[in-house]
Amino acid sequence: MALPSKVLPGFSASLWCQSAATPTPLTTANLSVWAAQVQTIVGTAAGGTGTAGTQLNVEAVPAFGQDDAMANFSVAGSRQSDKIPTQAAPTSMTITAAWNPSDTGLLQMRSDAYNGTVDRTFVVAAYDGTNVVAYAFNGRVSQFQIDAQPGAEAKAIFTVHPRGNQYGWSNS
Amino acid sequence: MTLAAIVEQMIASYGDIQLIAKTAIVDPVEVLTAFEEAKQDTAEKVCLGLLKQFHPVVEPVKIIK
Repeated sequence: MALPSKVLPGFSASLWCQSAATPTPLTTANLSVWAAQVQTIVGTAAGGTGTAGTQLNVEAVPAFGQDDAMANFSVAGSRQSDKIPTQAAPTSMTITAAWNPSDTGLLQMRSDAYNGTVDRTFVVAAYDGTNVVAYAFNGRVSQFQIDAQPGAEAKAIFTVHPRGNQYGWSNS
Repeated sequence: MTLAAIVEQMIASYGDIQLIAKTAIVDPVEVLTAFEEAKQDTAEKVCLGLLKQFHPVVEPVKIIK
């Protein structure tokens, strides 16, 4: 199939991760391969097969990609200075989910956060009903918090820190 | 290092494969041939695609006398 060729609404994106307790994350090259790699993490609801993955039921998929990083140079006498892109960090994703204490995905995130050294492949899949475009990355979870205020449903909040250079785009 | 060994190293890497592709010493023609023969949607194709991007085949400039 091909890349989706339309403007996608934000809610068409879903977040998936490898389901094993101690998974072997995909290698950097395989993060760009849909068939038999990324496809196995994305569930059938988003065009994958889902045999090795589980969905994280998040309220919204946060911004992902890379942060800004630049150096500002100035030359005496010149009207404008110059901005040069420098080494950028991957964007950390702070995720909010409704807290279900028995949810498999959230239990896995809680376990990963307490461990701190588990590398896991995550996938953001945008699905238009026919085609999928997937952003896959390896990351570690930290800052797992439960916000149980009396005025609203309890929330589980955690942050995924992607590992540097370990990302890839693919499509079905 | 042979092209096959470089590709194998890239496929197994958890690091910056663009950097490996950029600094590899390869024959652009050999890379292009291997890229065209590689199966679609495989890690090998991804790695050869990066090598092709950083080591393009340069056509010799014709000098008109």
